[in-house]
Amino acid sequence: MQFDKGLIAGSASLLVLNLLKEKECYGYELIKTLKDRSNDTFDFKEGTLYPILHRLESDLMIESFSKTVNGRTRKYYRITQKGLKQLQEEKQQWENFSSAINQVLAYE
Amino acid sequence: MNEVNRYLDEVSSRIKFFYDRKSIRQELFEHLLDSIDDLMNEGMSKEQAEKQAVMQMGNAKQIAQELNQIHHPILGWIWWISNKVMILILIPLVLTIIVQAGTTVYSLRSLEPYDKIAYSFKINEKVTLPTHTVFLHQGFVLENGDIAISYRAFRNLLYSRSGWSIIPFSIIDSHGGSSFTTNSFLITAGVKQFHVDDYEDIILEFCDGQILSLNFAEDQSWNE
Repeated sequence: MQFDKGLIAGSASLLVLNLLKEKECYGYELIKTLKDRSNDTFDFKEGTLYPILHRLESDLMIESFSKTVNGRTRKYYRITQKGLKQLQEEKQQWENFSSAINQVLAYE
Repeated sequence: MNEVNRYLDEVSSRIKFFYDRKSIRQELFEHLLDSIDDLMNEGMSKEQAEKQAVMQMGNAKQIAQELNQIHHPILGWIWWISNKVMILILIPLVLTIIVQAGTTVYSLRSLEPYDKIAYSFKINEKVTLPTHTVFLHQGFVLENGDIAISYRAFRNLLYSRSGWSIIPFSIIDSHGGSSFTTNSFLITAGVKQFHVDDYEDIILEFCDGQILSLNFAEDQSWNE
């Protein structure tokens, strides 16, 4: 399914932060998890994840480090304290927003 | 890998802050490798998988554009330069601290002349100068006939017109002039040796004009 671009961009950082809250990840791992969990609903171009990650990093929401697992060195990301706070706020906003939308849609 | 390299070249060549090009390229390369592995596990050939992986990445120009908004060339270079400037400031600072610490430790050593001592006595004079506070500790008469004085000089921190050529005091023997210098470190210490003809009227002249007269003769009353 293809979504409106703005919709994905707006919620992408929320989704990324939420995944990184669980565990540190590298970019490809994040995308795979996102695709799996959304039943391939989020079929976006994979490269667009990196501007999102780099933006979050420059805003100090996440931090990166390099780690070698099974002989493959990859750039990993982990969430920061600031990121955890931001996640909580964005989650709350999202819940308010989606419940408001649902309420409006319930009037048929 | 042609397809992959072409894609990586296309993205990284568009990154304006070229200091970050390498790391961005590397990260996307790692991603493509993982992607190709998975696609091949699903049954694709190597060529197919490479093509598909690149396709899934999306438009190189668009991604580079979005990355450029974050890896901003001007802000990036300001950050890069300020880092270098910091290092340029830090290196001399650290060196100065090391040298200062070194001379301080060095100055705490016991102050004895190298040559054999015939006899010594305590001077214990403190002289306050605009640039330094000088403690004259001991006077020595050596077996070769020379005299020596041990001293510690503490630079006055409030005296800002520092320089390396400050001479807090000099010693003038009865025939006039041997000079006695110290540098501008915070603490300096040493033993200075002189050849003199007469032990009785050794005159120390300080930079502010103060005069101290010392008697190095053996029979003096304060001899140790």
